[in-house]
Amino acid sequence: MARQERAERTRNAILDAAAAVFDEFGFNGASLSDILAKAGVTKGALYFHFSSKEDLAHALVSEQSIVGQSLPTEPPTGIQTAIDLCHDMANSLRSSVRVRAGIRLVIETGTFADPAPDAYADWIRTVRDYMVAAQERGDLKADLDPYVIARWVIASFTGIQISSQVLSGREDIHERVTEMWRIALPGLVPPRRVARFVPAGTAGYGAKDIA
Amino acid sequence: MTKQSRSENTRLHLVRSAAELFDRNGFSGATLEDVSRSAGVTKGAFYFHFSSKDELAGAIQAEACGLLRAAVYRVVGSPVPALQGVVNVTHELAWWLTSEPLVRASFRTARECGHRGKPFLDFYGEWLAAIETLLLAAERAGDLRADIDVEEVTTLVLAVSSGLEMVWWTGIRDGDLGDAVTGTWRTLLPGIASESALAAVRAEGAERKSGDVCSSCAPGG
Repeated sequence: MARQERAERTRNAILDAAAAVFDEFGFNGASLSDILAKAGVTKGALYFHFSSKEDLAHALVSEQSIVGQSLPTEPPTGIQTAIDLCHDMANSLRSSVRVRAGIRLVIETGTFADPAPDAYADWIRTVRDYMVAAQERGDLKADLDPYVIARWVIASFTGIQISSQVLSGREDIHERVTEMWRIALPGLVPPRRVARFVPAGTAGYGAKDIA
Repeated sequence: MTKQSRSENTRLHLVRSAAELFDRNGFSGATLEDVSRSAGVTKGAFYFHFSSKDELAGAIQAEACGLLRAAVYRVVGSPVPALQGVVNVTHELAWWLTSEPLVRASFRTARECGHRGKPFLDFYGEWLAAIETLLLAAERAGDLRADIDVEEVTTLVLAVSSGLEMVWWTGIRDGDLGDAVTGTWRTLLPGIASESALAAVRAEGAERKSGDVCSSCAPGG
């Protein structure tokens, strides 16, 4: 039992170190020796848990589905849930190096062996479900396709977090997400309902101070 | 003179061959040997034109920026309403992203090496400037809502276009990239356009003749 716990701790230390190195240097720029040095473990320990750099990358990418897990899945979900999800992802990006590394690796997909677009597909499906619920309630305009809107939301968020990273080190990410929704809401929601939604996020999902 | 233009041709040929390779294999996945081999020139000829792979990447970005500037001049010089011009240029970008190796390679090398700054972000910079120029023209023409901040919209359009490109890149390619751009404008225009401009603007971009690739970006145009 104690041994298992220790193994789990080592695995976590390796993942944290790998995340920090991937976040800084990307997949191609990251070296196993940097990861080893940062994690403070031996090569043997690393290979006990992960067979290769690709394997480490995949472990971090598959963790991406954890993002947004704190959000409600049971009704009523809808437009506001999609807004809150974006702010929640923004918080995760700012506070967790593992999420940052995972997203960078997803974006660099194709530079390592086996592309893993599942993370995107999962997010798009989640937001599509919110949009379907919104449309049933009359919050999403009837002539819009929930899937197309969901893809647009995830693509827009991705572009925003990248440009925010480049332009401000993600300092302004919540502001940018808020602008995105403020500008998009009149196109998505029937005019008389636009004011029901809060582009800056609700229920603690908006901007948080990162310690 | 002839010698000079032959040299110019070789250089452009190298840039285009490299763009195809970077687009396919990534910046770090393509070696200089690969580039000279696929261009059919010796390594010596390569080094006559470029001293490094970074310089080559910069030349690709510069060629792509030239394409974009030409597209912006065409729009500004045409009778197309200003806001429609913004929409049309984003459609042109979508077309390039499906078929123009210079632009595709510029985006891919930005994705992979953007943290290194210049020259990898040159096309992004040019794209940002292009959107801002066209949106400012739309604002002057009264095509934008009064409460709109051009800088905000510029950043959003840049973000959305790079995000669409990335999602496309990860393999989520259902439908046509141009349709995704049309969908984007349908979503954004009600929040951006003045009432009269909204009624007139086509989210689908410039009208395409059937079978035509892209009306405003015909070869050599």
